[in-house]
Amino acid sequence: MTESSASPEAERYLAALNAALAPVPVGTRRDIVAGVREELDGLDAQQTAERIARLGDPEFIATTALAEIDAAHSAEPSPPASASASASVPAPRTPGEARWFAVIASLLVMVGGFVIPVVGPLIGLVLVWLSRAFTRTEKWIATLTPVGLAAIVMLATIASGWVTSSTGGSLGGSMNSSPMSEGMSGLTGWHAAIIIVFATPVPVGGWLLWRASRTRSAADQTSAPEAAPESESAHTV
Amino acid sequence: MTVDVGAQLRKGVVEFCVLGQLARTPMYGWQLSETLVAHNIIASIGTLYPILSRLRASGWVSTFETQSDSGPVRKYYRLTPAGTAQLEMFRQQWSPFVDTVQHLIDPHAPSTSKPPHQNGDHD
Repeated sequence: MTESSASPEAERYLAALNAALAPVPVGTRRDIVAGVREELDGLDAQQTAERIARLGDPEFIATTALAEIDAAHSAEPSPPASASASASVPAPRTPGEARWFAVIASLLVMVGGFVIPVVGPLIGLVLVWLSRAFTRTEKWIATLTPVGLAAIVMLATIASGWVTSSTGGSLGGSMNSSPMSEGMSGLTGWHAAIIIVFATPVPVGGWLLWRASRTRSAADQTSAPEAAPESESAHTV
Repeated sequence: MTVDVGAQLRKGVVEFCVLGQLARTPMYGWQLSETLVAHNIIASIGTLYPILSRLRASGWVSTFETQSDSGPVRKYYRLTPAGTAQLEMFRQQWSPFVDTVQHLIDPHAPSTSKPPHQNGDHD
């Protein structure tokens, strides 16, 4: 679903901009790309070229954005580390998160449980939190979905346990009166909860993988989530 | 240690320059960026968006989307009442501050520990 009528030159520029902005926190990165896209929408090739010339080199935009973010951090009530708050080259920093980081994190969440139960997805979840490819909301969704569903199932199990014990096994059938089968039905509920904890990371990890690949796509329009996945166009590696 | 004087100065005031521009009329990102870059307050549009993020987080700026004059839908930024109040506070402090600094760095002023005037002298 793309309403953008930006020219191919504009799309190339936006792809380069998105790539250059990789080290920038995802919210700001999307704001910048969306703001520039707004500006380039509907322009013909000549106008696009003019506008792009005025915008400047994507690397320069990224450098200045990072300098501003660094300056804001060092303006907190501790002595600034250096005078690198100028608009020129900031203090050397890691070239930003490697593209594969978010992918590995998502995959670990998704299938890590089949390699190392529980610990695998947990490691994946920690990496997701460390990754810059996901927004805070996305990270919380990924964390709380398995936990939330498991909690709901466990509460339902406990509640149904109260119900069956209060009705005293009068639900019919001789099986219900044996203490062992009453224990079994309780156990099944807990089993269901455990299965949920193991199973939900799979779709959650898949969703994370999709979000991670969308962030890299230059077709990002705004920071609002969209229903249909977009096809990835210029995908610089 | 070399210090980029201009950058240090701008750091302190750039947010209020953005507020000042938005006080006149809501603007979209490119509009703001063009003006501030032309006045050498920011280096590029990349500098602007982190600032706008902070201003929104502080509750001084809000956004809305609407059809612009030239057609496409754009995201506009505008001041909130809190932002207006913040800008007013800055305005009240700015002039006396400039005078004070000028007095302190003026090579010809007689050295005195007394400030040239108190707050409230100006409009």
